[in-house]
Amino acid sequence: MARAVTEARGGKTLADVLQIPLENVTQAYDQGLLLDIKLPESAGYPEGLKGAFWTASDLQYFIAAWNTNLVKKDEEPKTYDDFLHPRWKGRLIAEPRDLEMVLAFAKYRFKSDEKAIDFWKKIAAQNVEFHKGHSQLAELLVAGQAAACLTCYSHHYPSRIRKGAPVNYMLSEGVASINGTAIFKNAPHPNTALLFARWVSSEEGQKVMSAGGRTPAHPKVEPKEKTRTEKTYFITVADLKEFPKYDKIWKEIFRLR
Amino acid sequence: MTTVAIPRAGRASVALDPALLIPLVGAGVLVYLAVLPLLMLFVGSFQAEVAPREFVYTLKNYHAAYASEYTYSTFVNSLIFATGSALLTFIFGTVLAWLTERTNTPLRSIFVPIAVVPLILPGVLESIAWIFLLSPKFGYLNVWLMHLLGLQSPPFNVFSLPGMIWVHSVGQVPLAFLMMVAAFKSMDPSLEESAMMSGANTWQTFRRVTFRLLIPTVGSVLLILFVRTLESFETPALIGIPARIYVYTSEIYLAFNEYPPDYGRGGALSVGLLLLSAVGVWLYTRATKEGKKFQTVTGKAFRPRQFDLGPWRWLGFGFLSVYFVLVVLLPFLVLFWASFLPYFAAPGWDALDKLSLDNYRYLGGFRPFWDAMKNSLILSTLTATVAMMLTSLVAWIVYKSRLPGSWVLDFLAFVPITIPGIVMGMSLILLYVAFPIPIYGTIWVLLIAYVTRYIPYGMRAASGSILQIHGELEEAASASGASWWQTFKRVTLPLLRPGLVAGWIYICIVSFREFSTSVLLATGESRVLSILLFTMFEQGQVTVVAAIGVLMIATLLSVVALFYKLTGRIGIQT
Repeated sequence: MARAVTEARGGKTLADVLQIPLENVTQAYDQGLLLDIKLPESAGYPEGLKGAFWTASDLQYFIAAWNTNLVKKDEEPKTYDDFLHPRWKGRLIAEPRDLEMVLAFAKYRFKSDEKAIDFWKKIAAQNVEFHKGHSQLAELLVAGQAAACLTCYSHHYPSRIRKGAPVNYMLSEGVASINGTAIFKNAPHPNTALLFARWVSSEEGQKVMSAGGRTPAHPKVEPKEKTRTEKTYFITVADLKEFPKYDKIWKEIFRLR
Repeated sequence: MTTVAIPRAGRASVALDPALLIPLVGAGVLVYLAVLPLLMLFVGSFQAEVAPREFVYTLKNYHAAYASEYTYSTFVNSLIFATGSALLTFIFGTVLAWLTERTNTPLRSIFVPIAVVPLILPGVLESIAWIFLLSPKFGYLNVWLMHLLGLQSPPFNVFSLPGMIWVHSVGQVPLAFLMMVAAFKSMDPSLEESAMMSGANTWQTFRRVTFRLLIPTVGSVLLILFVRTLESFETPALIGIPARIYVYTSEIYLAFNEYPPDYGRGGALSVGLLLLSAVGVWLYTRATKEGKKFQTVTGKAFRPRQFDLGPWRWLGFGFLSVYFVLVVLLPFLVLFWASFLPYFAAPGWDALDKLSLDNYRYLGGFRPFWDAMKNSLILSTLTATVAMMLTSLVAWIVYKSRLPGSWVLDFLAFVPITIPGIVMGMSLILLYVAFPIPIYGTIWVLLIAYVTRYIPYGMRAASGSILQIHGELEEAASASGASWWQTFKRVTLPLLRPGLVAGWIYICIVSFREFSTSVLLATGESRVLSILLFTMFEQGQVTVVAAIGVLMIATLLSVVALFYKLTGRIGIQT
């Protein structure tokens, strides 16, 4: 994203298509870099997974996961509420930048900022340890640095479990954020760009996305792996405007910088 | 003290020699490479938004960076982290270099290539390996020691300031080691012999003579280690953030990761880093001003003498062995073990049935891996060669030519070290994306980035050695009718060789693993190994990444060995 903007400011657009987290897509749009275009394929997507200049490419789910050597079968978490139990004190890890959690809980789980802040404050009282990077989190969880991870990515787990790693993950509820596809205004190959964007958004393209291990955004295409949650709190485009606000809240709750 | 010569008048012929154009062109290239990113950083720190269409002056970035409640603690943490790491690294590096280079410690020569290995590991992998060894929750070493000694609590916690200093230091030791080897190598033994003959014992000789002769190198090594720690990123991110110990680079990183990214504040923080480093350079220049004091390489033939440690040599051997096992072997074994596993698991019998060659087999048939390997090899050898050529010319100007204002060059050659890689990457995009010669998106823009980033290291390696060379050798050459270029090529360069070789190896290795600038500049075709490694790490293929790390070590050790062969007398084995 920084690169696309800097390149454009340097006087050149080198890429044709942008496919990154939606908050970065909208930032690029605000900088005037993207084309206003609605792809015909976007008709197959529900509201919230498409916009004036973008179509969702895939989703990533923030979920909770745990180490099966450190968590007894009957103590496995069923929902996020279970993590308020004292037995989790000092045994939780998370990623320091995942403000989406408090945002989604405030807007869609509790429908109240106060309740969400109160919930995460109670979680903070459990002495959560923060590690940079979701991949790192998953590795540390497998190794036993913590009993459970609060903000892991669901697509990190099926392959690890298949290989025999002592972990499991919770699909009862989770937060989903959108990756979007958009086309550059000054794309050097505008026709190819359009073709690619349409293909990636079609059912066929989404199936390829699924085969690659990602969670497709198209409602008719099932992910290859079990990555979708039953109850999902979607981060919407409107929510993106409030990232700075919840970023501040998230950092204050956990005394992060 | 016959070799501490009386200062002589400058070489009058210098100013007239047309061949001086060669070093001057070198200086011009240096100014171009170092000044532009610096300017962009500076301007950026005063503007309201990143790369704006028009410039809007503001001080808000500085306010945000330096007037926060964290300013003081960040400053103190950075200072402790950098000073602690510089000292620890220096002590390890010097003792290793002295034992392997100047004593009769048994088996010392096999420790030389081994000492370089920690440098090769990418910072991400190294930090992870140490977390797996020293984590208070599951660290293999902690578990093992608790079991062995019957301890109630883990003896080590990697997530602490001492933990950060340790992990960063052991990764930097090879740098100190290479620079100190070069210094020990090119030291005239006659001074030590005089001391011995006057009745001094080994320790007295070391303290009163050897050590003092080394002061310029010691100064530059400490300086470079100090600044390198200030600028380093992996350890503060992977170990500092969980420990909640923040230093300048983690603050810069966090500024870039905010919503929206705060490049202005990051730039303002970088300017602070720059000032802190400038103080270091100034102190160093003052300390080494009277370069003549340290000129030990004269016209007489010499060969550094070996200290006979007597029975103490077994203590030396013990130190080398413990260092080897603890610092080199353990983290490497963690990765080596992991490279045969489907996921990270503690070493033990129950994991044995999971071992396989799958990760290596996967890489063997994975085209992007081979492309990236090729790019990285080309880039690292080219970078090392270009950077050493450039800096030996510039070092000559600074320390030998007496051209007015040449100290500015010395400072400029040091400046790139203080520019965070990501800032460097952004400024190079702005410079080259619309450049008339289409190098953007190719490996050539990466070459420019790497050479710029590693000039400071080349400069220290070259200047530490050039300071030790007495003017009489060059004077003798020019008195015999040699032109400047002939003198430089036939006299100065060969005398510099130990320092240049050490610098070349170092730059070759660090550019092979360079990450923070490449991440912005590498594209599909110019993808390098460190970027591929990071992408795969982010995708969670951590044990494949461990296998890449093992292959990187194998590749780089072969490159270094080949380079030794090609450069003949390499100054490592006496």
